[in-house]
Amino acid sequence: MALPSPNPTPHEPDIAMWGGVGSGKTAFLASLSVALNRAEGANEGWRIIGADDVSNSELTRLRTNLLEHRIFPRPTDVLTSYNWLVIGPPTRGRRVWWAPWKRHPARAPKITFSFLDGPGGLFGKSEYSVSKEELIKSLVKSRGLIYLFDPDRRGQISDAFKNLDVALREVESQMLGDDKYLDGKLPHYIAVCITKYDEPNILRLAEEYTDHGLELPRVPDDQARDFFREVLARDLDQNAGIIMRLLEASFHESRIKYFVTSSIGMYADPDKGFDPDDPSNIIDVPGQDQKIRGAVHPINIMEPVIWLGRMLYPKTMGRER
Amino acid sequence: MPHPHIGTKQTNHSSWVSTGRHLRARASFGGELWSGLGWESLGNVSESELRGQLATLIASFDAPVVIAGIADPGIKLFKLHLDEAGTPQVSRLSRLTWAELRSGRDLLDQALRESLRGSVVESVLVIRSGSGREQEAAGRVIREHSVGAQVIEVTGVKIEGLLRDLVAETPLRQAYDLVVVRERAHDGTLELVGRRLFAKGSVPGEPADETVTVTDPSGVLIAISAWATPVQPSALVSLHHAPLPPGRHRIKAVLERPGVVRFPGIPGLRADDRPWSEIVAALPVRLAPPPPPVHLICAVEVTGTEEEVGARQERAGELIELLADIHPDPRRVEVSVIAYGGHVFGNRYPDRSAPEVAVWAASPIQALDALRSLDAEPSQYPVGAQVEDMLAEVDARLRPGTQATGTVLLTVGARPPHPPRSDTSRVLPCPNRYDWQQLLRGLEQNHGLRTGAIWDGEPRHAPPAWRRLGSAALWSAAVPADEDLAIRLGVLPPSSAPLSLPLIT
Repeated sequence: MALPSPNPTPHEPDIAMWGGVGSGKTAFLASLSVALNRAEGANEGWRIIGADDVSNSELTRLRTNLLEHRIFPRPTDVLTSYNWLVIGPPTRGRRVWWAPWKRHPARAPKITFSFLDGPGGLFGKSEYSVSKEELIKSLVKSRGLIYLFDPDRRGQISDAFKNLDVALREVESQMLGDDKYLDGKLPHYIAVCITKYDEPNILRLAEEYTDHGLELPRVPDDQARDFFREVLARDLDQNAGIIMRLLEASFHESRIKYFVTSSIGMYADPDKGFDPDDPSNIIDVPGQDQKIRGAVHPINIMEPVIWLGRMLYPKTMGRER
Repeated sequence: MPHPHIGTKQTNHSSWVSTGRHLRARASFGGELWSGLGWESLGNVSESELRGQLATLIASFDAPVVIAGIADPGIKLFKLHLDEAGTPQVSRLSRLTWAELRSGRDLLDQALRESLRGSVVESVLVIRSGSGREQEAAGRVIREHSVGAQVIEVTGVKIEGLLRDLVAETPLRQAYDLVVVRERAHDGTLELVGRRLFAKGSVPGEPADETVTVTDPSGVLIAISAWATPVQPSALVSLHHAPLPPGRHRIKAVLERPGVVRFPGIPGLRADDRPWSEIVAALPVRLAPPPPPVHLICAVEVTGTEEEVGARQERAGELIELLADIHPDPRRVEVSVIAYGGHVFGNRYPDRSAPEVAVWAASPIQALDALRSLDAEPSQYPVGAQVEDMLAEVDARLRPGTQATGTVLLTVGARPPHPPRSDTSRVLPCPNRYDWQQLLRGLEQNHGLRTGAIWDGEPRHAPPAWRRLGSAALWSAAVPADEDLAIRLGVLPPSSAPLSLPLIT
């Protein structure tokens, strides 16, 4: 059976992002522009721009913090709506049958990216009901979702579960109430990002899923789901195991993809390169802002966005999975 | 002469009898001999004769003698006896005027009863320097109490003064020793011995001296014991505390009188009234062994505020000064000073910072100068310091064979070492990948290193790394370094019970 269309409309955002407290949403965005700039090969030529002045200046601030001040964005405490445009390299002009000597002008793929930045625990707190409504609206209207899950926040898996559970129930009640989606699943594509892969304890946990053949270690996409399952299984909170089932019950299995991500990547010594004995790229001093130690090497930051773009615009970007 | 113990002198009962016109001491083990003599008058004697007879009596009597002095103003009763150390003592028992006695004969009866009470054998000597009805009556009363009493008649003598002068002038009836301590040759245990100061028969005014070693910084006890015979246990004559500093001293003594030895030239000398048994019990079994040579390595973290670094310098300095002051042989003390800071992270270029050896195996004075020259540095990475690099530096500098020297590493700082590789502490690994625990183990095993630490915080809150660094002693930078720290570190010998008596070698 053909899956229902995510129903793209030209003025709605393509991708919305959400995650729990401290899951690294703003760090993800800050890193996205760096990752796009640095991309090589198949992903080369992408960039991100602000769709309005506020979003543009926020983008500049995020980049400056990350690259110049070498600090992470501060946690969000007010609800702010940002709109960005992720623009890819133009595709070669297509010939048409009625005028084969002509080519249509090259077209660059554009993915609109909305980000309603609010406190991570929004869904667990009744006082944010207005903001929550905004966020739900954003999730309902988007066609692709980026869900960030922080595996390093011990003891807060429960919050992550509550956050996801409440958000999905709200979105489902708005979208599945009528007969539009007969299979009872949400139509979105969803990129589940297991963040903070650069944390030494996450790296250790991911050891058996890691590909060490690269400049920096990385969990291949086909191992990410298993790693996510292990992360959840290791948590003492009994709700942890339900998170994956909740996601896979709400979305079509074929529209879910897991990514193990890091906004800043691991530390690589300028002379010696990456050393598994010294992977942390964060200078963590209690009572002070965390500082970034070395060069930023985003891992799997642009990949979820581009994957979503390809899923949403298979004609312009070429579908792959 | 061995000094088995110092206790109460045991004497036989004895008394004196007259031979012709002379008094002489005569041993008696019961009352039979004396009781058969009856009242005996030795007749009139001159003052010098009396003095001679009494001097002989004082030099030879054993059992107490009651002396009744009957004079014009009244009657005085004295007791001549030997104290525990065998020293003759004269004490006045009572003094009654004729006016008092006229009011009732009972007074004299009572005084005599009290004077003679408690003695198996009492000798009574009556010295009558006045005549008259009352004097005769008093004589009769005394006779009723002591039928064997002897009477000497003399004119114009003040009996009390005479007796006291004669007791003070009498030659020693026992030898006097200075109590000293010496080490037994075969096992080094300490024993008490006597060093003869005054032989038996020594007379007041005679000088003596003995050279001894004082070991206790708080001074020395000067104890004089008396010996009745070469083998007879002795008794303590006097005990004084002399505030003499440790070292060899020549103690000069002068026999003031029997029972009193003077020590001229010792300022601050005072009598000590502690029980002798207590002093003996507190003596150490052995002398503390001489401390081995010491090499104290002070590794001071110089990152932090000026106050923090200043406190660390002060504590390390106190310990070095203490070593220089108290160590029995300061020439065998070596001190090194190493300043270490923090690694630098987040720079484009690799961290090249390293600990700085300010001075190595130098004298305490040089080490103090080097310590004072260290400057505080701001901390760029306040959760870790180059402890591991400092240990690597120490390891590189210590040569094999340093075990003979007591090498002590004192780490003074606040921050923990960097781990060799990423761990749960979130402290970034040492850029040189030094393993501080492995280095420390190696130093301990290969060089017999002892480790102590002075930590900025309260030792009970110290993290595990600082507890490990302070295995032998963990001290707070807020508390002045004292002898206790030095002993725990092993740079000073453990304090044994002080030797309060003079030592002879």
